[in-house]
Amino acid sequence: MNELKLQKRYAQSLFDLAKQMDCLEKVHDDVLLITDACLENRQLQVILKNPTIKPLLKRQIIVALFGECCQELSVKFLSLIITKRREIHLLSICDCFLEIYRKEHNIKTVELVLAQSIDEEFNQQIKKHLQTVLQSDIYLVTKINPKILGGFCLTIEGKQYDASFLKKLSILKKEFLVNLNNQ
Amino acid sequence: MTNIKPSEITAILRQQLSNANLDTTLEEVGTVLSIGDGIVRVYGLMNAQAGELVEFANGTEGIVQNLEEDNVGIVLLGEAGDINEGDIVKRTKRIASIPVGEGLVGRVINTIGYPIDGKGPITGETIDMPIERKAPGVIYRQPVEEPLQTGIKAIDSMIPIGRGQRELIIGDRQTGKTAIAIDTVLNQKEFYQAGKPVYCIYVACGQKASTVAQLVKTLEEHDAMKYTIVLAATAADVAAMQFYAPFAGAAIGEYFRDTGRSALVVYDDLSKQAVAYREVSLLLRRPPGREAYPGEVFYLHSRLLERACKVINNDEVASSMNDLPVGLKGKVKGGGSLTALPIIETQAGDISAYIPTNVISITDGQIFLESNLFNSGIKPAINVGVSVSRVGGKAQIKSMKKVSGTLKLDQAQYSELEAFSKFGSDIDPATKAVLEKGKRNVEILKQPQYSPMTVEEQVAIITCGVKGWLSEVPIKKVIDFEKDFLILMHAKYQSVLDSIKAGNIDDDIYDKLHEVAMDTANKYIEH
Repeated sequence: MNELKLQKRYAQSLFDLAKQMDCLEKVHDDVLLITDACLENRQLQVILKNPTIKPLLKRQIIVALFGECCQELSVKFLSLIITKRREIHLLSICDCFLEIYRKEHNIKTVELVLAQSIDEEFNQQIKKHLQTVLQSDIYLVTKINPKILGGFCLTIEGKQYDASFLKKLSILKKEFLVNLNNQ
Repeated sequence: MTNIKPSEITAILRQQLSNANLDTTLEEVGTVLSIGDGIVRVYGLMNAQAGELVEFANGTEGIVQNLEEDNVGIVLLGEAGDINEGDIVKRTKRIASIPVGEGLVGRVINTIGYPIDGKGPITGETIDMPIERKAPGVIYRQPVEEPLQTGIKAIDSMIPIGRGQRELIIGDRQTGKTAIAIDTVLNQKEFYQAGKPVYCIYVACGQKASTVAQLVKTLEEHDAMKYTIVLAATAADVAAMQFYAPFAGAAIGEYFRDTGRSALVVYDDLSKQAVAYREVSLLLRRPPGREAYPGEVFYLHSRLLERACKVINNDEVASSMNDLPVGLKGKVKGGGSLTALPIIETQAGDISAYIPTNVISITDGQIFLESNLFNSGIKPAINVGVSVSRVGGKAQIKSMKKVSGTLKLDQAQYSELEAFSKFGSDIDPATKAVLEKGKRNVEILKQPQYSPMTVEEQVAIITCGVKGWLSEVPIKKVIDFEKDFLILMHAKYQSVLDSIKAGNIDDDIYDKLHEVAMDTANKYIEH
């Protein structure tokens, strides 16, 4: 899809430039900060997406917010995105950047869905175990979804290991239906 | 109240779930980027194949259509329902297929093989037949040589269809296209009763559900559902279901064809299928071509119709056929056939439009129906001049071939002279004779709906017309003559009819036919 292409191009450009200017780690931290800020502050997202707010005003807000705490490159990049009227895609550009960064550093993104929250110690144990199994660094995203009832569901780069109770129950349901139809 | 022991329940549950595989495996998944109009864009699914089935979180299935740089375009085979952006999509690693078996006969199903006639699930063993499959190669085929009797005099005599042939039925709306297909299906009852059934598959594509229900009722009333399967993708179904319906019909037909049996598949109609395909293609943002159809609309129809063929009558060769489904291995027999009767609806008789010309060029002939003929009471309204069968002639039985040899020429001559005769009143005797004979032949070739005729009856009555034995019978009385003549033939000379059925016709038979014809004609001659 064209939209995804756009986000990848902006993210790749930022990544390449940061690498060239030897400030990749700092820009990475900035991107994490921007992502968190956007996710935690709905008003910021609304402002960025609002087409009636002029780009100049949006730029002023961004500079006021991130001007001091972020790298010059990051702030300039944000300004460029606003000038080009692509601020609506800011979050997904950040996601793409993080994806490229993790790929470059051989960090695998692992999404773990559980029915209940777990303590930090157990979380670290899981992370360690996955690092050993996958033989690479991992970026673990833990999500809680009570609908899976129990067990866990692990997604690693387009592959899913669904060991949830919900999946097992749905298999049993299907089997019952097949048997009922055959009777 | 009866006591149920917990152990009994446990035992039943254990038995029911004995085959359930609860092992967890690594599955390939993607994420829904966008959904709308029956099209889903998915991020991920990097190893998905074109034509592969995928499963959404709510259980709905879809078929992979577009493989793009950073996303996969999927057409839904059901309602979008509660599929949302961000939902997980799983690969099934199965190519889209339809379960086919003997239990399907007599049923009404949808494109994915789900019964929609309310008679419960499909029973018996089924084999997964791929919806998209390559047609058999040259070495697994043999020429068309066996007739497929439609029971319609005009077709069996002048535009004969052979088993394995693809004969297009083309015409405007309300000209009797479906009626021809249905009559052909009804005529196969004779072969079903004789123990050599021609399994019929009627694919209703883009039609009203009420029309399909009416059709099923007609087939049931004529006892034709015993050897027929109706596959319906109605106008209310999603476009993907409509354009895959003929492919699913072909897959069912292939099951019978590859197991050494004869099958007939009616695609009613391919114009609507092309429209459904155009809809999906445009939604998938494929570049539009002529009349906004995608570039490969010719390939859509050619790959479908190529699957109709006569399989070589050699079990050993046939069993090594290309692209055989796994389930069919070991069950393949030679000598089977799949005859296709695609239907195309024209707009105002324009057979030079895009889809009609495409399908005309793909098929082995066409039966062209005209509104003018239909409105003037000639039913079936076949335009003999434009209609043709390229391979069917070889499949005609000898007696029919001998009798109908000059019929088409006579009728073409009649049509030409008829136009001229309207201008002048003075006609020479030779022209008058041609006109009179032609008029009577037209009457003979008229046939009411749902009344297919056996081949021996057809040969007998056509002989009367061709030989000019009806010259004294008034035109209005030809239909009555036909009824009486056939009754008399059955009563007096059944052996002659049997001999004609076996393909024999000689002077002795001609004499007997002439005798009965003159006896009958005398009743109608006005003195």
